[in-house]
Amino acid sequence: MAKVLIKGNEAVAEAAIRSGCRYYFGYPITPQTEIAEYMAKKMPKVGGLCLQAESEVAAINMVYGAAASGVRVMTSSSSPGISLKSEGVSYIVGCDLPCVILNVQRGGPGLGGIQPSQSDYYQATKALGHGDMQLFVLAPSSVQEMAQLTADAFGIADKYRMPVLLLADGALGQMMEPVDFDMLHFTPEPEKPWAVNGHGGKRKKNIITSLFLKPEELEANVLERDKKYKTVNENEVRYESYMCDDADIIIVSFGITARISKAAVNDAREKGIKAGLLRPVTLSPFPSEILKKLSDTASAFLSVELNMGQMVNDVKLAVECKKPVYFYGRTGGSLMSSADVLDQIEKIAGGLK
Amino acid sequence: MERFNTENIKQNVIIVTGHFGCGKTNVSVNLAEELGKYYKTYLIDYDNVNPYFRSADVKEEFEKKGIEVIASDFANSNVDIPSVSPLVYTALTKAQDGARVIFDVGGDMLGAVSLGFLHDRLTELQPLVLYVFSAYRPLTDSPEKAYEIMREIESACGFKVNALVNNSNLGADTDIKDIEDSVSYANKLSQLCGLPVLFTSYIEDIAGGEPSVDTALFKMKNRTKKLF
Repeated sequence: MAKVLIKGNEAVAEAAIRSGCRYYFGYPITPQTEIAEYMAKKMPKVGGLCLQAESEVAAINMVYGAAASGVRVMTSSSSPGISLKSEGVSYIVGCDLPCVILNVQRGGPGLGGIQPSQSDYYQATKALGHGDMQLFVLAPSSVQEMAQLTADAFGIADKYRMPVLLLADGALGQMMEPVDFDMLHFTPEPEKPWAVNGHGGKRKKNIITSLFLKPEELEANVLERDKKYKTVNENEVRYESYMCDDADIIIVSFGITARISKAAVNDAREKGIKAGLLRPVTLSPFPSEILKKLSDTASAFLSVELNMGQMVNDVKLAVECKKPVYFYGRTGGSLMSSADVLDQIEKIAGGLK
Repeated sequence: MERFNTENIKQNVIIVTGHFGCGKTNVSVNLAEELGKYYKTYLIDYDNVNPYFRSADVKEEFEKKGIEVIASDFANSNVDIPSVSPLVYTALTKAQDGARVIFDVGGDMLGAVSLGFLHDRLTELQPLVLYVFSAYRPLTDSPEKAYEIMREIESACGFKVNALVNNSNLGADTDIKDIEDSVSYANKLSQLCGLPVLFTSYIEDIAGGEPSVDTALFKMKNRTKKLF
């Protein structure tokens, strides 16, 4: 397979299989059902398993079991289905197990709609589950990135023994773009001596649990995991900086919205407004340091999101009130145009003069 | 190169099937636009699979041109349920009187299965059944795989495919070489199923001009909805 024209959802499935993922558990929901369809067609041909569970809750618990046995495993869903998985995700975190979860976001709350959205940002980055927990959250912005970040996700999950959430949206899931799968790079699967896959009487038995009978033991366990989060936060931040060096107005935007914002930055530059784009590729860990640094040179920040203003608060925390942080968004399944974003840039630029 | 002339299609009903993501909708919309110049034309969005990109997207524009677009009342809404508009029967009645009706069917056998309940009615009208393929889709990266899906579609809908349409493309990245490179794939598929390639389709503003292939060419507008 050289270059192919592929949907974002299919690209995730193909990249997962190429990453050595041989177990997929899911339950259909628009706009991500193509993943299960692709897996169902391809997994049997590579000796893998694609299973449609009886519910999202069942699927995430199957992921939990498969991850404990040391295999590369993933599940996917869209917003309401992801909410259902949250208990299982917390258990997987509590057991320090690696897995990949994809959320192809749609409009909410509740049943909401089937059109694209980024309104699960809080859920993804703050609390997809109870307890002191953090997920590793990656936000692809193109179909090629849907594939590459899926491949990366399996490597990161194994490296830190934590779930990696890919936060996409209906537009990225459904749109087709050319992808060259031969260009992808993969992280080989490491040895997993902790896995519960049969000790054969040759080693001490492994126990995987999130239950601790003594509070001190649980505290020690959480503290230990927190060290891991600190390492992740220090070493794994990823972002794309586009024309930020001399920018007065910096747009902060992720995923599909970043592409619309990038067009607006180009249009603003043509009009003589020094705009730039800082696109977080990791939403958790969040690129706070670079934003803090940019607040020394930029005059204002504008967070552009498909929600009512969620990431904007992380931008504010990063900027530490040094510069004004504005927000612009659409929600409910509607996308903004680059002209809409340009309009916001011009308003801010006008106010700054 | 020889241009494909839609007036060579003698059948009043054209059923456009194909594997998932081969570009059935773009082909259907362009065929409807061309036929609409000469005949009363009905474009039926018969896709119960794809939630985002579908024939219903051109409804407003086409109706100004006098081309009727019939879609489920729930197309492009937040109600994600497979349903068929009763106006499909109106279109089929009109087909008996010489109107042209194009069915833009959903992908794979999953999309084709809903043709089943119209089987008797459609059989009377002796439709032209097309199978659109693209050599650059991951699950049909060999003619053998495209052939397998064609057979699945036939068994799902109860119609035999009459002709193939080569719509091999890489979206915005397509250049004429990509299309010319698909000829050997197209010939192999044609051989496997014993059916002719009716035409090779390409988007009008493709890099490199006009591809050189051994079939008729059908120049199309890019009708895929821009999300942003």
